[in-house]
Amino acid sequence: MTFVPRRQSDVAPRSAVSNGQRAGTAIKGAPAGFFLNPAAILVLMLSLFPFLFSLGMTFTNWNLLYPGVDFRALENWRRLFDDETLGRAVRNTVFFTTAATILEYVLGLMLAILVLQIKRGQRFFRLIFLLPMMISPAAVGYVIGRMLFSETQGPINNILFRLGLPYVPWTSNPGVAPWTIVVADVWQWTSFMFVLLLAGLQSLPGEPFEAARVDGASNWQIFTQITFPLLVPVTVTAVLIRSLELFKLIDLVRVITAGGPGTATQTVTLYVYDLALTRGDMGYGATVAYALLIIVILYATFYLWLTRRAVEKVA
Amino acid sequence: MKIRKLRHVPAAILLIVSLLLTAPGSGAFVGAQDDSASRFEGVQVTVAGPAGQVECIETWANQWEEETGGQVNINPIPFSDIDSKVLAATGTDTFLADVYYIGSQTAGQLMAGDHVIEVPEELRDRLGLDQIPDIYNKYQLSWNDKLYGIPWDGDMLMLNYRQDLLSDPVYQEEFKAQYGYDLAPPESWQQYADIAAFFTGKDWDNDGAPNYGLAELPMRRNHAWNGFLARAAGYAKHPDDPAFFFDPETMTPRINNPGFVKALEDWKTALQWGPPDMLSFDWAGNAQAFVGGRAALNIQWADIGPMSIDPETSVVAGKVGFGVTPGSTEVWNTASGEWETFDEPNKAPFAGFGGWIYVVPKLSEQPEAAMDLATFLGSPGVRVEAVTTPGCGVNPNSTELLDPSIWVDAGFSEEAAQEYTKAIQDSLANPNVVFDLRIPGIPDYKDALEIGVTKALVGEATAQEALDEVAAEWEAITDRLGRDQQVQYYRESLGIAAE
Repeated sequence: MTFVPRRQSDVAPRSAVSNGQRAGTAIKGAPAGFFLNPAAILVLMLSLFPFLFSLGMTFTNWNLLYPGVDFRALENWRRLFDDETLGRAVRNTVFFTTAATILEYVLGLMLAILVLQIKRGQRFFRLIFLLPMMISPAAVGYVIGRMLFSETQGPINNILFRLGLPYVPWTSNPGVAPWTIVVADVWQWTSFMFVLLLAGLQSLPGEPFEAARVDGASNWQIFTQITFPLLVPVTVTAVLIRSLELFKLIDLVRVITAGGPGTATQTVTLYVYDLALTRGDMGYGATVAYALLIIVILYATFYLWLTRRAVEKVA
Repeated sequence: MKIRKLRHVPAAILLIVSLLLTAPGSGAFVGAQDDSASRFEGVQVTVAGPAGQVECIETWANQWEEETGGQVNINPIPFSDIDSKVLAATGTDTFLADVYYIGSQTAGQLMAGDHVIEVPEELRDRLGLDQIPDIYNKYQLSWNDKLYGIPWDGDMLMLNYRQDLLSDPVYQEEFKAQYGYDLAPPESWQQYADIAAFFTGKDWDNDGAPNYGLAELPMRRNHAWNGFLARAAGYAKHPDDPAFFFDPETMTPRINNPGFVKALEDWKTALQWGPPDMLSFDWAGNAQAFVGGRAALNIQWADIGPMSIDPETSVVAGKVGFGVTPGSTEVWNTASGEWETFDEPNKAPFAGFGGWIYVVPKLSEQPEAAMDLATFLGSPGVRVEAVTTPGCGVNPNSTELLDPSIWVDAGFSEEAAQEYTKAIQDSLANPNVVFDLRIPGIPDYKDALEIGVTKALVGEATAQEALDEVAAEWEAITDRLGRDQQVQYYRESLGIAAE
């Protein structure tokens, strides 16, 4: 087995660049604002207005279920710090994000390396591994979480029972239920990591690997000292995208455990959904959503700072 | 010239008044005295209700269409969304439907806020209100003695048990040897626990898999509220005190008093005798566990009766007995702040959820036709057909529906029909019955309690810690909504506003 990637293409076609430049010169002279303003106004209306409007909501007691809206200054923001359910939801969300991202990355990388070795049928496996990503998360939650992992009716516990193994409380035990969610998420989204990492592996240059082979490096040495460091840019992107998605996890949890048992699988987004759409508490719901945004921004900033330092060290 | 102009004034006034009275969305109601077959020709009436249940009205809606020329559109909304959709539509003055098929808790909020139309006197005769027990007339359909709700469903948590197992001589002998008293339908939660423990692990259907003692409703976002309060009422609803959830003078929550705490501790203990996945049992999961033959005891609504005789869903036809939910001999008295010991278990049946009813919102675009349709659906003739139709989710809510012969005709044995109707009748007639909370803020109070209760059930907190958290959250909710206003609503909901 070897980790040496096959090179798919050398350089981007130069003609594309020059064509783009020619296209740019064709509209020279036309006022840039004429073309930019409609798009800019549309973007402002569709993104900035809701953003500012929802920020304004955080300072009110607006509840859909009751008439009247009063200005409440920072009351909702203060409430964040006394909210035990939110604290639990943040901890759960961090757990799901960490556990699922790591597992998806490791499995995705393993699958990508395996598929890269296959001479024939690579496209078939690429398609097969992509399928889970195309299924609705609600369907995945139902089929995996509610049917396969059904504790008394599902086939998994039935097989365990027939093998004489102990019954597993997949969704009713607060220690096990979070892992059931992670398993469902990993099943669905490992393919995302697989696709990105496979593309990354295929685009790696061949020369360092050939030189390493000539120098007698083992497969493990090639992987740890050449393949993995060269994959860091793709890894950074893939992990960032996936972890940002996981911070917003709601669909699988809603279907599989509805946040329970107790609050063992409650996520921040599910809590926002509860507050805003079940209780109608738009003011506090928006505040929690903003708190999540702040957490995600801090995370992304820290993560990018950390990875930049790591990349600089490797370089 | 002047006189000629004034001649048009009376006609103009008449025109304006008639336009105001019939303007869509005005909320004004004109009594439907016209019985002609085309009195609502071309009028479209939309009914919004819980998906999986509201579709059941189609047969009777078709009848109404034939009788009036109107047209009914049914708008099914997922069960978990219906309350929020209706309340959001109300809060934002948005039309959702002409008739709401909605739970009593949410209906109470709409009545308290004066968002629904009072049932006109001339249509009340249709409803057979003299057959409706006081508990429903007073707490389900009315607010401050004004009738807003149209009867449809009656909800009372009750005990369902495997009659065949409890009367089995072998089990009876074994049980007596083990517990020192006769095996019989449980009267108290302690007996209930003994019976559940006794049957757990027994393979009475000889399928090689162990069965369970009980099936209950502990799932958050589903019916943990009802499952817990059905049990807690026996411990915490003192017969001398009309209030249960709050102090009616101050809205101080009682949810963390020793009665509720003891009920939660006992409930946690009882979980071990249920199927291992019971914490994720929704309404259907609970029902299937019992009618599927896997549990000996069950706490559910009266739906289990018709379901148990449905050969498509049940393996326990003819094997089920029915009773009032058990009580407790130890009862917490809030007034004295002490436990009291009763000679007989204190039974406090819990009208959890309170039943589905119809209301016509003031936002209705066709209030006259909507009220006509709703009162047609709520008439005794339609209700009799609805309660005996499996899958409609409609339970008896009036005395004529508790005539055992109706249930014998529906497929019950004579004995089961007697027992079924008696259990419901005894629950309704119990002076200590608890009707569900139906004041503004119910989604918040409910979610807070379900979080606390399930935290205790899975061991994230002790019963006392969990319920202390719930009490603190309830206080915060009350403060946010306005304590004085909430006190008034709570007192009105109990029918003690004037006291």
